[in-house]
Amino acid sequence: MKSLSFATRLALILLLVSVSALISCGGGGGGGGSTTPPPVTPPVDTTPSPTISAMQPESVPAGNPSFTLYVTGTNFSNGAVILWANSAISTVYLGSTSLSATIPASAVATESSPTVSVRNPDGRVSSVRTFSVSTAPLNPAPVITSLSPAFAYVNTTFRVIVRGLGFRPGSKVFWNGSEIPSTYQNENEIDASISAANATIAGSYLFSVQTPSPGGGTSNRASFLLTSASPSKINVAALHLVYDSLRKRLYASGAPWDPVFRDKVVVIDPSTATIVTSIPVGAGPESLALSQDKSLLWVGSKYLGTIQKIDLNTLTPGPEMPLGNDPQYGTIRPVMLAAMPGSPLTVAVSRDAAMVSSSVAIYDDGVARPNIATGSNLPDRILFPDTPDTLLGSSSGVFKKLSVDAQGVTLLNTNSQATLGWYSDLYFDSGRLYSTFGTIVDTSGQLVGVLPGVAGTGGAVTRDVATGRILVLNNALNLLVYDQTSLLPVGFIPLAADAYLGGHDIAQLDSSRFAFISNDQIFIASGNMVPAGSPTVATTSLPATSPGKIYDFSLTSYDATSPLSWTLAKGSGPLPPGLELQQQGRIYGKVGAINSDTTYNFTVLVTDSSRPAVAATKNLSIQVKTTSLGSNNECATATPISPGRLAGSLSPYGDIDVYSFDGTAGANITVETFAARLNYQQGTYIPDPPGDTVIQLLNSSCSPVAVNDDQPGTLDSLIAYKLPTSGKYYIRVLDSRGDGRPDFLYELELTSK
Amino acid sequence: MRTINLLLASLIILASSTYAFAGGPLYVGGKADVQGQPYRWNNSTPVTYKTDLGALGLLTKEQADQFTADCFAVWQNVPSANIAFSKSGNLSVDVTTSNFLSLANDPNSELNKNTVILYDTNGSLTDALYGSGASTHILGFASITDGASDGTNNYFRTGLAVLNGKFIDGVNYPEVSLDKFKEAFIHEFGHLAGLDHSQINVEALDYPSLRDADRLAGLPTMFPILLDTTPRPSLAPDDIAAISRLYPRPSFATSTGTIKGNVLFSDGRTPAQGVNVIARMIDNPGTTENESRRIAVSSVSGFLFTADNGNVITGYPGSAFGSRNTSHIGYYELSGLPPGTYTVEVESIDSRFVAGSGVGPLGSLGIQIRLPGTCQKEYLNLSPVESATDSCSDFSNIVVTPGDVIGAGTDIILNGTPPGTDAWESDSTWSNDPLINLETPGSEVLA
Repeated sequence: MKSLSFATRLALILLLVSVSALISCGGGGGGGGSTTPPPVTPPVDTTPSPTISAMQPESVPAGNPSFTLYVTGTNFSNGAVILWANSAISTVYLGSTSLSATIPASAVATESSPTVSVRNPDGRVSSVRTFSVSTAPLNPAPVITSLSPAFAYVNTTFRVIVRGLGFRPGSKVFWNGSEIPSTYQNENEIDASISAANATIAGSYLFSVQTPSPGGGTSNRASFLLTSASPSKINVAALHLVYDSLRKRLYASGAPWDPVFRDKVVVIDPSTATIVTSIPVGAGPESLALSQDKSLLWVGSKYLGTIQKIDLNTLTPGPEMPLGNDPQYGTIRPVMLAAMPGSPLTVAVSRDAAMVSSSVAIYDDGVARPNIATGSNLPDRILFPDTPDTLLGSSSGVFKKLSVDAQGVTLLNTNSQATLGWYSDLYFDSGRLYSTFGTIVDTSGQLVGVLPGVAGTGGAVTRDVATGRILVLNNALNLLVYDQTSLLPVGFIPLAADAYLGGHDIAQLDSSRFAFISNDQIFIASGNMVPAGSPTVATTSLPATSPGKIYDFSLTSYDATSPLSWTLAKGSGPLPPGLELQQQGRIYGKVGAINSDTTYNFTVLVTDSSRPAVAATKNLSIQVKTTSLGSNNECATATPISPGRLAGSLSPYGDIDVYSFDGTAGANITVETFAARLNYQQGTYIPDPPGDTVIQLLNSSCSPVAVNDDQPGTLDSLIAYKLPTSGKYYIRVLDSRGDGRPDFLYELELTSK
Repeated sequence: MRTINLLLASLIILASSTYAFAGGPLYVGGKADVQGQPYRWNNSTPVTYKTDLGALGLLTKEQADQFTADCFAVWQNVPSANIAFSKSGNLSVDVTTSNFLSLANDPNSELNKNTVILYDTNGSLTDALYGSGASTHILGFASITDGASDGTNNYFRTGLAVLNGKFIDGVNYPEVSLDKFKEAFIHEFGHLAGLDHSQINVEALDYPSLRDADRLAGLPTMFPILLDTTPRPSLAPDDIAAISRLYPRPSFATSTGTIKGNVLFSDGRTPAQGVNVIARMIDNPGTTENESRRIAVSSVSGFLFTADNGNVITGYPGSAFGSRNTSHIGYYELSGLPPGTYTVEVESIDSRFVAGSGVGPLGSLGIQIRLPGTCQKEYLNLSPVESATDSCSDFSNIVVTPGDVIGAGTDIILNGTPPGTDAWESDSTWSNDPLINLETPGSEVLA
């Protein structure tokens, strides 16, 4: 008769403790007689000792109930015990790299720092780690919400106020991973200081805050910009400037109110921010145009109604050449000049007379071609789009196009409705006309794109020849940096914190320096062309699904300022039918019907909350299968995922969900479930959720390397692990009781940095 | 009037373990037993017990013995149940705080070799076991202390009950009438008989105004909380059905009817454990009584199934009790229904009914779940068939005649629950899984 009494079942548990106690006595017996043994050479012991690399958790508050301690390491043997403050506790052998043990409540009843080590049955003991039992309440995980200021200049010592949530007196501030001096102010503010020695290289830096255990953890990372230098101001009152990349000189037209440089073109060495010389020209020089071969600088004078060329090899001004007289309105005055490509002596001039009669004419060394475009809708801002037969421009913010031939210039009817913005600066490159209004048109005036976050008036636009990025100087004197292909903002550079609002005539001097005019002052500023805060889309692939399924996967991005805004990029392919990309990055919906297996390729655009916003794109795809997805209950049939957050369920009964991802050696990953906490997040409080997740991280051989049941304060699970090797990794999710049901919903988040 | 609801602790040694099963039977056979078969006493002969030597409050030893016999008699007098209890003698010592632990720790002691009824004369033993002051709110407790399976039957072997005399010592506070004290120990001896708590007319717990005669008549003696009402010396229909299921006389099957089925999620096939199912006789307008509150029988879905199957990662083997037959996960059985017309409803088990006050298979784990889906209460609605899209309040009247076993179309499909699998797996994968080939368990389970 089989008889397993209730009492016996209780006794079994007690027996386990007894066995454990026996093991803890350790030592080997031996015995026998005692005669002097012959000398022998002891064999070389090659059996490795166990090592401990991590514990989960590493601390609990005093008075914590009994909990499961997971120990990760190497060379664990079946039957190993955990030595908790030198007392043996039996373990559950989870493989050579993982053990678990139940730590009784009595072991953590009071504040202490018990040692933890692993002893194999052969007596070999690992190194010792220290566990923390604290009477202090659990520290919250810190969160950085802002930095003030958000940038500083290199080679200066400065102070940054780190603002956020959950700071504690023991919280530390890190600057690109290195701790820096800081002073705790309150739970929302820490003052940090960075010495000049730590701020010598311009670029993007990351602030983070670490709060010690119990609880605590590492915050999100907040971007900080270190710019090269504060702008230099040239002591010239100027109206316009151009840059001669051949001679590395700036040419500026002196303002009439500059007592020294009025009626002169000033030559500046931007490398030293010094004035090289000045060239006397006709009174009231304003607009400037540099010939394509850099041999001549054309100067327009509204005051005189003339144009004038300067030989840049000799810095000798030519004669003042009047534009002529309008029969009704009198003197014709130059508004803007545009040097014709390939013809240094030819210049296009937008003109007006008495500020009401506008026209565009072509001058060959001061002689106007006969056909002159006249009317009320002619552009005041003009440029040659790399070819001598066309002029592009804007009139009252409307795109205009003119044809140029030997007879002169003719306004074309483009029917363009594109708005380029009043007083916008224009820049042409590779078939596109960029405006500081943010709009981009082709040579027909058709809108081909928009630079997000720009819309304004005035300003300046140019292109970084080294990186191909479009640079827009906005009214706040931030240099907005855009990727020329995607038209996405990739950062910004605060050029002149002490300059005035508004700027124009930007000129790029080299890979990191710019000259521009603000409030008639010439500034030379430096900035990193790849500024901080560029978000990186962490999600690289998405799991497949099938029609009728509720798809729920949240994309993630890092190194960006939250909150993020997600959308499909312009020109992206569609999502599978029934799915939508929500603003918070969640791809959600019930997958619609399709006829055959289909892969949907699309591009997501994420924009962060920095000002101006920074964005990034990622090409992703979702495969929708009409055939069975199979089950993901084991490594061989795992669901491939990448960093992000997915919604799943442990259902039906006994379900185990296995996910796989490609890991990189050295990457710090976290795997976390949200199940018990979902009830709170969704606003419905359920005291006892149906499920209690347990997660396990497995290597490419499907062998466990880390495991967690509950993290402090919740039934949900968390593994933080530094991947030792590159390759495939697996995540197993199941219920602690082996349960499973459709309403056992969980979210699984994978991060990797 | 001050309301005092008293805790009826069902367990002592096992109170914090996961062994307790509920929703009818207190224990159900697990992996080492006849799986899915409730534990019970071998009723071929009377269940014998020994009593303590001491007094019980104001009751003498002899009066206490009579009190004990009277409490057992309530159960053994159920006509449709075949169970009897008989005192086989006295313990050789008066069990007190001074000797309880030594006796409990000696496997050969009288305490461990017999079913014993201890008289905690002044509450000191209760305080010693549950903590100082416990004797002011725990009237007593009872537990099965040993059982075994012979491969054919799962039988109890010994049990223990402690009666706290502090409640009947004539000294306030605490103090209850002897009749109220008896009501409590009818409950505790129900546990000794192998019954778990059950939940019917739960609204009476929080709303004294709803403790009307109809609801109290239907309120099970095995309700987890002793309500501050006039003493209720008789069993409710649910208690009678429960004891008769464990120890049925032949007349039980022929004089009453049964409705059985599964509680399922909205996909119509995934079973839901831990849902309270109640059959209520519809009110007869020809009487002054409300039969729908008086005549009701309950069952908790999955009451035969384990609440803890263990975990392959941690290596924890799970509970030693409860069936692993997945056809039991959502199974409910409302047997012992007096002939009549019934509605069948499902509801959550009160979240406070956990641990020692647990109801259903999850209660002993400290878990109760909210009714899955979008309804707070839902009915079996056969018009035309039960579905996940009917109204929460739509119901059908089910006529039960003697001997009926109604098990077709009686699966209750919850409204608005999530799909059976998530987005990353296919339903077709597990539709062939024998785990969820739902079949109504055979009657042999409860035979």
